[in-house]
Amino acid sequence: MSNELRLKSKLIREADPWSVDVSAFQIPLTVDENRAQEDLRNFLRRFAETKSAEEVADQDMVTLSCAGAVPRFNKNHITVRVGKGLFSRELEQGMIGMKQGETGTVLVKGEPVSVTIEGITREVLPEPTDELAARCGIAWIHTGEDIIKYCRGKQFDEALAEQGDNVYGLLMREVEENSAFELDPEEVEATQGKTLREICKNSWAKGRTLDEIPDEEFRENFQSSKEEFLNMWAGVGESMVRSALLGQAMRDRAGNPLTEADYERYLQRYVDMGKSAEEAREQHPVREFLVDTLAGEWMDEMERIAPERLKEGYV
Amino acid sequence: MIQYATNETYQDLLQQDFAIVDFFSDTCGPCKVLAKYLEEITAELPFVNIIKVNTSSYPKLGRDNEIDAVPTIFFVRNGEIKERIVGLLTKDEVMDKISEHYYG
Repeated sequence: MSNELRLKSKLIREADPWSVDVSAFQIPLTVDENRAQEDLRNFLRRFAETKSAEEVADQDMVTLSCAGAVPRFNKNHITVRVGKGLFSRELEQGMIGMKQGETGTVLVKGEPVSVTIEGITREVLPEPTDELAARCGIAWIHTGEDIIKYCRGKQFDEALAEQGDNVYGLLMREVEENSAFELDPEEVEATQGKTLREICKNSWAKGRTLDEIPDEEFRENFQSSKEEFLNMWAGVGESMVRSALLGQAMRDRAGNPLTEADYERYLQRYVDMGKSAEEAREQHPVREFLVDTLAGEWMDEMERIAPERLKEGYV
Repeated sequence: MIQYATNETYQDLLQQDFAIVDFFSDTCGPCKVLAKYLEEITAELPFVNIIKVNTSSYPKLGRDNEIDAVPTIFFVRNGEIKERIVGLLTKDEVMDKISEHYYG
């Protein structure tokens, strides 16, 4: 059995993400029925058939030419979705009932506009039936009712996504601030240094250390001085180790602490990329593996919990 | 209709009645959100042609069109670029631009 691996830093007290007050981000959501109908229509449109029609109705696609005093209404062969209001709500409403080939006059803001209807295409939307549900390609949709639920749920999902990032940030901040840690300075410093090295490696700096990059070049490329940059990143190491300790506690509760075997698998990724085992071990020490893995897992968990917490306040 | 441009087809695709050109990359989150809006828009307004340019696969098209960031979209009427916008637009904002450039 592999040996368990532990961070040198310690978690003294752990705050509960489920007790963080997220009420500031919870907004009651009442479904907008018009929007729900529009979303259902858009969903059904994917399975619609089109046919020519004789008389203009709401939602038809109409090709027309028009002539009027205003330049916008002097157009040939343009296409309009009736009722969308993208061209002119008044003109679109005024066309309803006109026939294919007919020329008529519609008043727009009191001014006459001559309209000739050149083509009318109508979508025949299917009903949201169980049969349609079966072929719509979404795993959890099995019935017509599911289709309607899915379309109504889009507003809910959008509201959750909009607020989810805010709550994710709040959870991480609050749990870290309200927990207590005993941080190992060496572990923090190594994490901070690694973060700075990674930033240099992944940018225009091309692997040079901060010391090797001239001040002027740094400012040109980063839009800040080295000092400002270091101030911005100060504390990142501490924050990463705190997150990692919370991730370690999470694994402990699951009875699944990280082990030497996990570390060996982590190193193997670098060996697969062409490094020797020794190089991989030297360049990616065990503390890096622990901090990266555990902090990442804890952040993923907060990201998962954020929308769960938000749901509590939705109606 | 959604069409994917290549170095060879890009210029021809622009010569349509009305098109929105969407410069995107595979790894860009806002591009995915915009892609969803554009899919919905072309379903609602079939006369709007969406031309997708993957700047990772066709960097030359990105360079030739001076694309510094993605998403960048062009509104094109009969081959003429009416407006270029960098960054994510909402669906309503795209609709307003269609109203302006197709009917304007």
